[in-house]
Amino acid sequence: MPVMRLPAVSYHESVVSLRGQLIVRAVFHRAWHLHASDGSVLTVTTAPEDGPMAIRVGGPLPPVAPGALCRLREDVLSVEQHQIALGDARLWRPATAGEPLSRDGLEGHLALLPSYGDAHDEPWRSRLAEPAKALTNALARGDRRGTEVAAWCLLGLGLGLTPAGDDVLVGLLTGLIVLERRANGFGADAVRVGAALGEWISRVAPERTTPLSATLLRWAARGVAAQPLLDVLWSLGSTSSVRGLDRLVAMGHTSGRDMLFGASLAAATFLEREGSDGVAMGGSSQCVSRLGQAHARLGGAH
Amino acid sequence: MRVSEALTKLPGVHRAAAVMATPLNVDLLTDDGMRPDVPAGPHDLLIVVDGEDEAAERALAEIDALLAPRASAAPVEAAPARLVEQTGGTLAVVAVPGQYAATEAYAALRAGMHVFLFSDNVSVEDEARLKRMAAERDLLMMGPDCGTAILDGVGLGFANRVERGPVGIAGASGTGIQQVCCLLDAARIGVAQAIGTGGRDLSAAVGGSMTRRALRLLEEDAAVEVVCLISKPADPDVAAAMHGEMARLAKPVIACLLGERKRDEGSVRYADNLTDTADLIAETIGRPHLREGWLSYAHLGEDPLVAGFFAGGTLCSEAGRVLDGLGVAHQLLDLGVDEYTRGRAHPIIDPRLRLAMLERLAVGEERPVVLLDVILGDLADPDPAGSLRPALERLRERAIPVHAVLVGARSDPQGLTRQQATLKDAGCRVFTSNAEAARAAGLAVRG
Repeated sequence: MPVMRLPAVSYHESVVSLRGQLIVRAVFHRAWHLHASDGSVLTVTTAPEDGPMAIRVGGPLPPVAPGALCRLREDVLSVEQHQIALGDARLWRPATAGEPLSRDGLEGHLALLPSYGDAHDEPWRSRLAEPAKALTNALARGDRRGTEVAAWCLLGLGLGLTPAGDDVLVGLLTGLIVLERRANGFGADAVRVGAALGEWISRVAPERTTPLSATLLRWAARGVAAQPLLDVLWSLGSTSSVRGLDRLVAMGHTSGRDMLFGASLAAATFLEREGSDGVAMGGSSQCVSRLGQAHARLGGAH
Repeated sequence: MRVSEALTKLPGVHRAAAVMATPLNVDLLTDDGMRPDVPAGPHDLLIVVDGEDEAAERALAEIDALLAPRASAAPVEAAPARLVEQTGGTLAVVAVPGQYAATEAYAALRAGMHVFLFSDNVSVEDEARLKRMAAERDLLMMGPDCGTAILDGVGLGFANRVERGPVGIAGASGTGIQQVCCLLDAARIGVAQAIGTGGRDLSAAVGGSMTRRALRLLEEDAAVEVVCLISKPADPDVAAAMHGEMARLAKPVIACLLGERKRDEGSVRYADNLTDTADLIAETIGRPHLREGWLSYAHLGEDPLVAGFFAGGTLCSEAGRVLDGLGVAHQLLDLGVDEYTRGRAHPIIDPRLRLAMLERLAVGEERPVVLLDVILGDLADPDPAGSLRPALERLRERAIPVHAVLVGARSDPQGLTRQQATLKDAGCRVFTSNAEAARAAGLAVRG
């Protein structure tokens, strides 16, 4: 078999820290999933968007055998006879600063999100309703134990390689972190709840869900997720329009929409918890209403 | 999810699920009485089918096929130079995500192939470079964002199945080409060539290089008796230069550059919209046309606004001009522009975004007059009227009037009359002329 050299288009900065052998665990026509010794999953993908632990390539992926060993060495990932060259690829470093968050802007944008909730009739999704509602209520109360119980009921729930419940959690965790970075100090209470939840989810996810989801959840807890979700979160509540919504909802079969649902829960939670600090207006009835709207909008949860 | 959906639709299958075997998913399957008797963990894809014995077995036998990559998505090696060598092909159709499209188009031009570049989200700088390169090699560079072409009777992209005939079209507008072709088809007038050039060809940045070349090719084509140029609003300097090109042709020319006023300048006759373009073509070649069959409308009420949801950009622009002329307020969305198509298929193929918008309108408080286009032809949604029907019926329940322009030819695979019947059943007023549909919607608002 001839050696096939595929130039990478871009790669997440986390990739360079991977050491040792990896193993090919799943092969799709648009992606390979390679498992590292620490349990995380490196994705080689032809998808157009950057994401955590991912290497993007421009051309079609050749077939490789599940179980094959591979190694990343000196900017080249070798998989069977194929070599993915990172040398000329763009290093993807997600943004860590952006336009300050405005409360009015956030409320305004949150009200606009419904336009991206396509009608979707899928029986498994209805199962998200109860735990998602419990999670939003626990977040509204700042009830750490309650958030963990609810998240436990979402982890690994639903269809897809990244089950829908995990996608919601990715949107929520990333949302809480990114919004905090833009909030200039307010909303600290929401951040405390979110940070604790992220830490807990990172710890339990490997036993509750797929390795790919567990990897993405661990990065979400650090505020890193697929670029379209970050674009939405870095522009949500700014004085300009929300960027990346169309690209986000186009991700996967329903993954993008589920992440957007999680992000909207984060935004609603953030507004409420910020209010409860006494920094700005807000109240429990508003919170229940706002979170309920976010639910109904994107997840069909009541 | 595709697998779950496909399995559930099989005859005799009651329920099916293809899920990762996470503890929660396995618990839920157990609750549903679908607990599989196999060891599985979060690494594993679990496929469970509940149904009649034989049906379940048949479904399980289908799984490999369902999990296999769809043929269209299978990796292929498409080195243009090799394809030319092996097949003698002379034209490459490039339809890949925008960020890769220019690279593929450069490779095809280097291999000596004409290019039909269907992809959008290609930079205007790349477009200008690609077209310069094509001109140097005496090749056609149709696109980017080239929706439609019909070359020697072969349709590319969103093309309607029209007969061959005496009309040659150069168009910087995919749906503009489709509208004129379909109106001509209704009048039994065929098309020799329709050369798409990409919606930005007559912009200042691109300068009309491919339109210029297309006009010359139509001049040289003995089958072409009348030349037609269609474009979205053009840069004024480029439009002036194109007038010079058209005036130099020995054949009569009908031009529809949206925004240009209707007039005759020597052998070049300017139409004020796409329907007028088809009229002038029919008149020029001395064929009776069927204009009276193109429209039928009545005043519908006193709604304050026309809300348009278009898949075709030129149709959207044209409708806006018609409504402006009537002094009617409107809010028209072109859902084919880059911001709506990034990461999703064009609305001519994928109806979901428009459906979601119409559904939202059906539950909102506004009561506009709705205007939309339904585009038939190869590559388009196999049943666009059927796809829209649920939303249209909900609009009818709220007494929101819907005017639809049906852009289709008699031989299109979706069935022109069937599509028309579906739209009418769903309560739409159906037109084959976009300008007339817009005018009717505007008059309905004015009351």
